Amino acid sequence: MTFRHASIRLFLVTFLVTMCCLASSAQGVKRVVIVKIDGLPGHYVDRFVKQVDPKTGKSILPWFEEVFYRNGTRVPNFYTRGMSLSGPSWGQLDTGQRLQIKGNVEYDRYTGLPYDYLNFIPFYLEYGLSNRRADMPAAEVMDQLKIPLLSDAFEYRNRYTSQQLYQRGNNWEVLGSGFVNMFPRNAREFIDEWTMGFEFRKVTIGQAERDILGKLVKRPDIDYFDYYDVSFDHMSHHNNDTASRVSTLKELDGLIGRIWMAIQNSSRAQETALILVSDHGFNSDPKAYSQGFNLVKVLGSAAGGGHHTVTKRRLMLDYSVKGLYPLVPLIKTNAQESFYLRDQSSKYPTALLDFDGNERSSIHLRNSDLNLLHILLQQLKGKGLNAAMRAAATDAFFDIIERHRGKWSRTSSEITEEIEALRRWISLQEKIVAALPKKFTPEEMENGLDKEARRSAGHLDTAIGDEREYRKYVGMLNNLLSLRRENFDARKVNIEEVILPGSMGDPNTVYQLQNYIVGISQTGLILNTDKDLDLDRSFVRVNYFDLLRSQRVRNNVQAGVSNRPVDFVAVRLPGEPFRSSNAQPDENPIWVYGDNDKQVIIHSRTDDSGSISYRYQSVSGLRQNADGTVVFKEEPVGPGFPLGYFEDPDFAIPADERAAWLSTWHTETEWMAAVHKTKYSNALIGLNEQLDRHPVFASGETDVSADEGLLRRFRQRQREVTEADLLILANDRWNFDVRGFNPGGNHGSFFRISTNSTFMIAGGRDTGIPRGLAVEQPYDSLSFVPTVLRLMGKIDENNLPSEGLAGQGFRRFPGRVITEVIGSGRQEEKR
Amino acid sequence: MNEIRGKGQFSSLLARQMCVALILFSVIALPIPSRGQDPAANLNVESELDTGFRVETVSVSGGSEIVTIFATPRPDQARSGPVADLPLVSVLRDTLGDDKPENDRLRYLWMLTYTEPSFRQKLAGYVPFVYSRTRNKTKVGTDPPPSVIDLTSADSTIWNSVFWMIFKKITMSDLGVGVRAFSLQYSQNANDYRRSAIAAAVTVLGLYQDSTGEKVLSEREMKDIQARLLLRDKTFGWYMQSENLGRVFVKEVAKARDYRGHNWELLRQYTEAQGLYFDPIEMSDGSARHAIVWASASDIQANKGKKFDKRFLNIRSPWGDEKLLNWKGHSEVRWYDSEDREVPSETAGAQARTLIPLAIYGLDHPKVPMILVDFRDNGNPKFREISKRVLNDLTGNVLSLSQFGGMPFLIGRFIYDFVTDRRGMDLNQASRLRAYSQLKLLLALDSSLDPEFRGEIARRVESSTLNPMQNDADIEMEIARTQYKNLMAWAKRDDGLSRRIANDRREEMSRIKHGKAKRTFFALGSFFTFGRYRHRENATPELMAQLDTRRQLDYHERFLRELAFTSADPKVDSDAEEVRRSLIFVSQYGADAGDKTTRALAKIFSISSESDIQTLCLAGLYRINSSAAKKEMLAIYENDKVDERWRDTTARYLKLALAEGQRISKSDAQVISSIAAN
Repeated sequence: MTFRHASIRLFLVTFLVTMCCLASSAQGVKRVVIVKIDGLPGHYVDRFVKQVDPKTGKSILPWFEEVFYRNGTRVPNFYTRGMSLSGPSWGQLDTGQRLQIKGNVEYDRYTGLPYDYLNFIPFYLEYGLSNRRADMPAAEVMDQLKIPLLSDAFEYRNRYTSQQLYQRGNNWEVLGSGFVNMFPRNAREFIDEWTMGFEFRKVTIGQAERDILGKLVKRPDIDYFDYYDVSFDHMSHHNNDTASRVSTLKELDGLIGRIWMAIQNSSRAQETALILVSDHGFNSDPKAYSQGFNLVKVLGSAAGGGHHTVTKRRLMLDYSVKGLYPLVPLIKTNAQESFYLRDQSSKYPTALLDFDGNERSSIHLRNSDLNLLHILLQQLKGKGLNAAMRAAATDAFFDIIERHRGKWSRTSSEITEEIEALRRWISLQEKIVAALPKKFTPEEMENGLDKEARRSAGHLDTAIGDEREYRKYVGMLNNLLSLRRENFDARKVNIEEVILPGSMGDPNTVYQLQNYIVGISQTGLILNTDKDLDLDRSFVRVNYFDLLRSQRVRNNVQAGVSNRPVDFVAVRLPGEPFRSSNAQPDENPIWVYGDNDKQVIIHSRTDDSGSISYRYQSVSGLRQNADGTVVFKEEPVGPGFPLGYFEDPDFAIPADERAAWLSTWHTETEWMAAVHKTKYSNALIGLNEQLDRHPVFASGETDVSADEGLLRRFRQRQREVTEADLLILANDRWNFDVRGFNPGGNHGSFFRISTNSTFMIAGGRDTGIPRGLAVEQPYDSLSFVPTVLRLMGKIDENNLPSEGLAGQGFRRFPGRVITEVIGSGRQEEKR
Repeated sequence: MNEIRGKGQFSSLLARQMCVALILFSVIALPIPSRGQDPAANLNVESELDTGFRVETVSVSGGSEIVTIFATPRPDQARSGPVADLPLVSVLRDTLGDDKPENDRLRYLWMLTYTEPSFRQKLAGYVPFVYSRTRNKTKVGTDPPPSVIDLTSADSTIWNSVFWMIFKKITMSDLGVGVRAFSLQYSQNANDYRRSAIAAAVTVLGLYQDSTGEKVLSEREMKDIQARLLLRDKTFGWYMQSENLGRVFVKEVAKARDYRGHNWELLRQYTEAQGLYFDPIEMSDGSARHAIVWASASDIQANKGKKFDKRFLNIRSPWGDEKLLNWKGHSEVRWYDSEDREVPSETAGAQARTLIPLAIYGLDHPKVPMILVDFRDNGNPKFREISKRVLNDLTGNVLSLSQFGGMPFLIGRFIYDFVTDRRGMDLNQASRLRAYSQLKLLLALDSSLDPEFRGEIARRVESSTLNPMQNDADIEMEIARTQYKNLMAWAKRDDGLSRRIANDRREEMSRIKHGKAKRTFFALGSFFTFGRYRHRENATPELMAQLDTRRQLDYHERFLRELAFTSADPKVDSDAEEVRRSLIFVSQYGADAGDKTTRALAKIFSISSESDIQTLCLAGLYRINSSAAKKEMLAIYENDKVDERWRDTTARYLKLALAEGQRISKSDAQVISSIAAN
C-alpha cells in the first residue's frame, strides 16, 4: 500500500468515525420544551413523587413519576453553581457560561445606578410606550458581553419564549389574551372564580401554557419552547406549610402532564424532549419560620457606621402607600445616627445594599478614603480648625490624593478612552437607528426584525446613559487630581465636584473594611507628636467583619434557629500576596470569615486545559495591612470552621483522612463528589464562582478593531464595578429581607437545601434519552446548556459550538455535559 | 330648601331615636352578673382539656347520624377524678340509612357554644351604638341548639339570601332612621355573633383535621365543611359549586397560613426592635395563632426616656411607665441561656429575667397582628374594634349612605379604606371577631398558661367584646354541654331531628319533580311568608329512590367535573376504577346531569388514553338528555383528528338519541339527520 493510499484510507476512516460520532451525539432531539420553574428543589419533588396519594393509589405527583421517573432521566444531584439566587442562576442556565450577573439587583459603584433584573414593570412600560426597549435588563447585559442565550440558538420564527428574567422581546398578545382568558365565559363559573379571587399573577403564565399546548400541535415548525413559572417560589417564600406548597407542586404536576400529552399528540413527539429545570432550591421548613434581620438598620446605626443606605425596594413595601408606585426609584433610607452626613441621604448615600434572595446580602460601602476626603473637606471648609490643624488636615487630604493618584489617573484615562470609543459607536449607531424602518410587515415581524430594531435603539439609549454617567465619574476623578496643595483653598471647593453624589468610588480593600472610617471621633481631629493628623485617633472606624458576625437577637424562640443572624462573610482577597508565597499559581483566593478564630481561605487555580482545582485552608486572625500585605495564622483543620465540611457526616471522605484531604488541591469534580451531600454542599465552588471574576473578553484581543477592544474593556469594567465589597450569608432559617416578610422560607445561601435544584428530561423514542435513569453523579447549572445542545447535536465533544452557532457568538461551554443522558441513551438504543 | 328641611327632620328624628335608644339601653344594660366568682374559675375546671380530640357518632332514626368533635384532656395531663370531654362541634350527616357514601349529605353544623340569644340579649342587640356586653344567657333551656350553617342549602335558603339582599337595598333606605338603625343594628349583631361562632368552628375543625387518630369525617367532608364555613362571609359564597370547594379550601388555608406567618414574623421583628420579648402561644397543631409581648422589669426603668416606635405594636411606650414600675398584675420569672433561649431555671449559667405582659395579639388577621388584650389599657383594643363599627353603623344604619349613593362619600370611603388597609391599621372588625373566637378557644383548650394569668386574660377579653349577644367563655362551655344534651335528646325524639331531616328530604325532592322556574316561585313564596311556607313533596318510595339516585348523580357529577379540571389523562393521574364507576353511573342514570358535566365528559374523552374510559364518556354523553350533550357529541363526530371508530360510535349514539326524541337543538338535529341519511 502506498503512502498515498494509506493516507486516503486513514482520512476516510477518520471522516466516517467523525460523522458517526456527530450523528450519534445528535440523539435525534430536534425539538425541546423547557419548563423553567423558579426555586423548585429536586429533593422536595422527589419526596412527594415517592409518596402515594390515598385517593388515587398513585404518586402524589403522578406526572413527574410518569414522565421523568419512568420515561425519562433525572439528575437528583443537580446544583446551583454560585448563590442560590434567580438572577445569577438563570444567567448560567440560560447561557451556559460562567457567572456574569451576580445578584438580582446590582449597583454600579462608580455611578450609583442600579441594574434591577427582576422588576419587569419598567420594562413593560418602556416597551409599551416607546420603540426603544426590546429586552429585559439581564438579557441586555448579556448582549453587551456578547453572550447569547440558549433561545438564540434557534431562529426567531422557530422559537416560543415566555415571560422571564432573561426575556427577549415582548408579546402583548400573551398579556392581553391571558387577561381575557382569565375570566370564564360561563356566568356561574365567573362568579365562583370571582368569589375565590382571580389570580392576576397567573395571567401570563396561564396564557403561555395555553400557547404552548396549542403550538406544540399546530406549529410543527417551532423547535424551541420555554415556559417560566414563579408560583412555587412565590408560595414557598410565604408559606412553610406542606399543604400549601404541595398544592402548588400538584398544579405544576398537572402542567407537566398537559405538556407531555400535547407533545404526544404532536407530529414531532418522537424527536421532542421535555426538560424541567429550576434555578435553585428552597430553604423552607414546616416546623420553623424564616426570621428576618434588618441590615439597613445595622448600617444606619452608629455602631454600623451611620450609613444612609440605598436599596432597590422600599422597606416594608406592602405597608406603605408609596409602595404602590411601580417604577421603583432608588430607596434611600436616612440614618438618624449618621456621623457627618446628617440629613444628606438623598445626596450622599454611603452604602448600597442588595438583599434579594434573602439568605444573603451584598453590600457596597463607599470607599473609606472617599469618606476621609469628604470629612476632611467638611472640616476644612468650616471655621473650627486652628492653623496647625488646618495645615495637618490639608496635608492628610493631599496624602490621600497622592496615594491614589496613580490608580485614579489610570482609571480616568482608561475610562476616557473607553467612553470616547463609546461616543464614536453612539454616533454610528444613531445613524443606523435613524435609518431603521418604523413599520414592519407581518413577515418581518415574524422574523423578529421589529425586535431587532428595538434592540438597536435600546442598546443605543443604554450607551448614551452610560457615557453620561461615566463622564461624571471621570470628571470627579479629574477634579480631585487637579487639586494642588500649593493653591488649595477648601472654601472654594464645591464638595459635589470632588465627591460625586451617589458614587461609591473604588472598591474597599480588606484593610479598609477592617478599618473603615465612618466619622470623626468624639475628641475631634487630633495631631500626633509630629504635628500630623493622627489618623488612628481622629476617626471612628468600624471592622465590618466583626460587626456583622457579632449581630445577635434577644428573641430566640424557635428550636434549631440560632440567635445570630449572620453565618459568615466572604470577600475576594488579592491574589498577588499568595502567588508569591505559593509554589503553585494561585488565582484570587476567597476569604470566608466565620469569626476571628475560625476562617477559611479557598484557593483556586486553573490548568491549561481549563480544569479548575481548589484547596481549603483553615486560618485565623487574617488581616490586611495598609500596604496590601495579608497576614494570618494557619490553623489545623477541625470542626467549627466555615462550611463545616470537616465535621459533616455526609462528607464523602473517611474521618481520619479528612484533614489531609481538605488541605490539599483537588479538582472540581473531586470536590463535587466529596462535598455535594453535605450541609454546605458545593459552597466552596459556589463561593469562587460568585466572588471571582470570569472575564468574557481576553485582554489584548487582536481580532477586533481598536474601538471594539475598548468597548469590550468598558463592558468588562462595568461588570467589575458591580462587585460588592461584602457578601454576607445568613444563618440557617434567617434572611435579610427588609421590604416585607418571607416567613415561609428563602434561598440565596450555599446550603444544600437552597442549591439543590431540579433537572429532569424525557423524550420520544428518537431522542435516545434513557428511561428510568437517575444520574447519581453531581452536576451544576453550567452543565445544563451544553447538555441540551449536545443532545441536539449543536456542539461537539469539546463543547465547541457548531459553525452556525459560533457565527452567532456562541463560544465554548465550560460546563461538563451530563454524559449519562447521552451515553446511557445510546446504550439503550443499541439494546 | 328641601334638602335643608330634610336635614332638620333627620336631626330631630335622630335625636328622638337616640333618646329611645338610651332609655332602652338603661333598661337592658344591667351589669353582667358576677355569679359570685371569677369568670376564669370555671375555665380552671376545663384547664385539663388540652390538645386531644375525640369524635363521637350518634345514629338518628330515619337514616342519618350526628358526628360530634370533643376536646379531650390528654392522658398525661388528666387530674385525678373524671374530667368531662367538651363537645364543640356537631355535624349532621344524612346517609339515607345506608352505607353508600355517594348519597350522603352533610346538612347542619352546630357550634355548640353558639346559642339563641336570650330575650334581653336580643333587645340589647337592637340598640344602636351599644358596643358592650350586657348579660350572659344563663338558662339554655331544652330547645335544640341553632345551627350555624346549613351545608346543603335548599333552594329556598339560597333564594332567601338573594331576596334579602335586594330587599335590604330597596326598602331599608326608605324606612325611617329609627326602624332602619334598630333593625340593621340587630341584624349586624346577630350576624357578628354567628360569624364568631363560625370562626370558632373553623378553628376547631382545622385543629381536628391536623390531629392524628380516628377520622370519622372523610378528608373531603372536612374540606367541604370548612370551605362552606369560610365562604359564609363572601357575597356569593353560598352560590359556590361543590366541585370548587376543594380549591376554595386550599386557597383559604394557604391564605390563612400566609397571614399567620407574616404576622408572627412582623410581631417578632417589631418586638425585637423595641427591646421587648416575643412569646408565641402554640395550639395543639403546633401553630401559633396568638402571641404575648412582654417587657423585662429591669428594662422598664433602664430604658426610661428611650424612644419607642409603637407602629404595629399599638401600645404605648413601656419605658419608664409608672404603671409598669409599680406593676401589681401578673409577672413571670423566666430563665435564659447565653443564646437567649428560654431554659429551665436549674440550667447552668442561666440568667433570670422578670417579665411583665404588655399585650396579646391575634396572628390570623390580614396584614398585621391584631391587639386583643392590652394589659395596661383595656380600652385600647376596644377602641380599635369600635372605631370601624361606629363608622359603619353611622354611615350605613343611621345615615343610610350607600357606597354608590354619592361621589364624595364613595371617594372618601375608598380613601379611608385604602389607606387603613394599605398601612395595615388595626381596624378591621370581621377579622377581629375571628381572633377573639380563637383566643377564647385557646383559653378553653390550652393548659400551658398559668391559670391565674389565663383568668386575667379571660376577663380582659370579655371586657373588650362589643356584641351584646356574646357570652362569657366559661358560660359558653356550660352552654356547649347543655346544648349537646339537648341536641342528643332532640335526635332521639320522633318529632325531633328525624322529622326535620324528613322534611328536608321532602324539600329536596322538589328538585326532582320541578324545574328551575317553578322552584324559584316556591322560593319566593317562602320568602314572602317569612319562611312559613316551604314547598315539600310527599315522600313516596319512588321519590325516595329518585332522591337516592339524584344524590349519587350529584356525587359522580362533582367527581367528573373535578377530574376534568385537574386531570391531564385519568389513566396516569387518577384512580381509573373510580373514574369508571362515575362514568358508568352517569351513563346509566345521568339523563338529568348538567351542562357542565357534559363539558367535563367531552374533556375527559379528549384527554383520556384508555379506550374504556372514552367509551364510557360517549355513553354518558348519550345518556345525558340535553342539547348541550348532543352538541358535544356532534363536535366529537365532526373532529377529523378523532379516531374513526370513536366517530362511528358517536354517530350511532347520535342517531339513537335522535330516534329517541332526546333534547337536541334544531340545527344539530338536522346535522344528525344528515348523518343518518348517509
